[in-house]
Amino acid sequence: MLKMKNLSKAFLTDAIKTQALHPFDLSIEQGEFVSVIGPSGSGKTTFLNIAGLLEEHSDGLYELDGQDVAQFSDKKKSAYRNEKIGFVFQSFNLIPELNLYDNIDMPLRYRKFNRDERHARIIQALEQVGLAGRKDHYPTQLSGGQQQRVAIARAIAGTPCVILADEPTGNLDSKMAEGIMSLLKDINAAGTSIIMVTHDNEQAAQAQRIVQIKDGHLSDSPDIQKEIA
Amino acid sequence: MRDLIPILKTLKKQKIAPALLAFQIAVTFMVLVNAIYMISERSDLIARPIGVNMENTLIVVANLPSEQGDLTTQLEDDLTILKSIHGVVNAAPITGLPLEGWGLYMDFKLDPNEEDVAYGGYFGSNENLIEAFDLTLLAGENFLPSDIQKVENDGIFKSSKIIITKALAEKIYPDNWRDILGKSLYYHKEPHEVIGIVDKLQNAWNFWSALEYTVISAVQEANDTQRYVVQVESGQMASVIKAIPEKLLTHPYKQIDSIEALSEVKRRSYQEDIATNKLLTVVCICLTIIKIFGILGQAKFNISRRTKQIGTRRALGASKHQVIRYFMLENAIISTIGVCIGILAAIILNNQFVELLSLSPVPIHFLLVGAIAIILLGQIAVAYPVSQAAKISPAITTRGT
Repeated sequence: MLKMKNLSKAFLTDAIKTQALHPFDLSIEQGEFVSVIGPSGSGKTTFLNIAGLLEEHSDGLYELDGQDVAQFSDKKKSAYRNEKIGFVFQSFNLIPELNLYDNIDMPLRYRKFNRDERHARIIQALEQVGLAGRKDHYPTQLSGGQQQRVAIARAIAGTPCVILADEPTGNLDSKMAEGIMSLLKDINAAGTSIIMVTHDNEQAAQAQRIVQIKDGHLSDSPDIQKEIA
Repeated sequence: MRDLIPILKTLKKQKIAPALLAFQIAVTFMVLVNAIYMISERSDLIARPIGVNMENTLIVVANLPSEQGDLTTQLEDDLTILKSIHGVVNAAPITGLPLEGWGLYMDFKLDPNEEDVAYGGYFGSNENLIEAFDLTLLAGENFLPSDIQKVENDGIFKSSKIIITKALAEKIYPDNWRDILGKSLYYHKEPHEVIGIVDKLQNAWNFWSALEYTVISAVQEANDTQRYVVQVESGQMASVIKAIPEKLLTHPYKQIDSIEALSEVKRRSYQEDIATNKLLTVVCICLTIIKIFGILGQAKFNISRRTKQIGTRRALGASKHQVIRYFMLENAIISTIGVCIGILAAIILNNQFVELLSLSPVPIHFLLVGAIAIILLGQIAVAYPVSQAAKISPAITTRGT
């Protein structure tokens, strides 16, 4: 489903080259739940951005769902991102002026779904996260945990092949965080791959596989799995 | 149009900021449309043709000093001199000038015992005036030299042949203006036979409703201060102006008050209108610039406030093009709402102007063109900030900025 080969990322600022990610290989199969851990500034976010087609890699190969994404135009990349990837952000990133229904509808409007299909997908996604009764509410009327559920509903409504979750419980208390983790696991169980960036080793351990990034070096050796577990 | 409904919902939720922008657009539209309409109405008034060849008509005002004897003889001498100048086509005396702001007017009757049928301005001259002004004779004929009565002062009281403008003929005979040929118009109780009709000749007062109702009488008046109309060959204006004082100043008592193109008389006549139009134009330009910067500033603020949201839209699948389209459409919707309110406000304001300043109402097509222009102006104003918005990286969604 996701294949990175000899992929690297370097930034060039004021003629100084900073290697954010050193060349690495990584493959993730359909249906896998992978945690990405590492200290702040290690390159986790850069990895997530490249995986989510939000940033371009400098070198190497990146295939998502069988397609090499390097040569995609902005238009094609945006459409591919919309179709293949569901995003869950640490700070939810819901649009405050739109109610829950319209927030979930927003990315669906960029697809060629008709109104009925969009409606069916929105209602199903809201039911899946347990907020079907609050579709007309606005984000500010919800708790943090509920807002993150809406963000998850937005991510799954387009039936992507992978969900990229960036510290999805980072802004939540432990009880809410538990609920979100459980929801993500349910979604994964239904067949959607999940790549979750987190600081929290306990949450990372709930994934099937753990990838560690340290000083720009990515490693997914079995030793890390054991260490965290 | 997939963005239309979400934009409307967003605007409904935001309320104040878009309402203020729409209000600003409405006020700008209301003021601009009325001001531009006033400018265009005034420009139309100024642009009305006098009926005379403006390019080659020269006006000479000179004295006829009583010390030199008979005024009519002096006038004839002056005319002979003027006509002899190289480049002069013809010259004629006249009792007043179009748009001079000073002149003679009278009421006209078809029957001396009946009511007036019209009123208008008066010029006394001779058979050369049509050529000296380069007027277009539409019907009838010009004066013959034998028709001309030569007097000193008070020519208006003489019964004479007259040539009138088509506008005056139409005023008196709306169904067939040619019917007036051969009829007599009475003023100062004397009959005046209409022998010719010219296309157009404005009289003395630019603001007068009877500006184009003009009578040319076959009475040549010699006055202390004498006006001459001189038709000049194309391209000879400067040399004729230079030659006139050399030739005309034949004795020490002779004075020339002015030698100027008729266009200069017209410019002086509309001086205030031209100045008002310039002032209004400056106000309109300033207002337009303020509006563009206002919209630009508001759009920039709006976009910087929504940087994260734009990044989120990009991350969730909006292309750069779709971001541009979203914000352009948002501005177009607000502008349209503003313009709709503005059209109503402009009509109300215009009605006040119509009542207070006797202006004519702004025509609908003017409002529609104005509306389209304002919406386009809005689109131009947001183009730059929106192009910047499209450059916002979707990666900002994960960077916590």
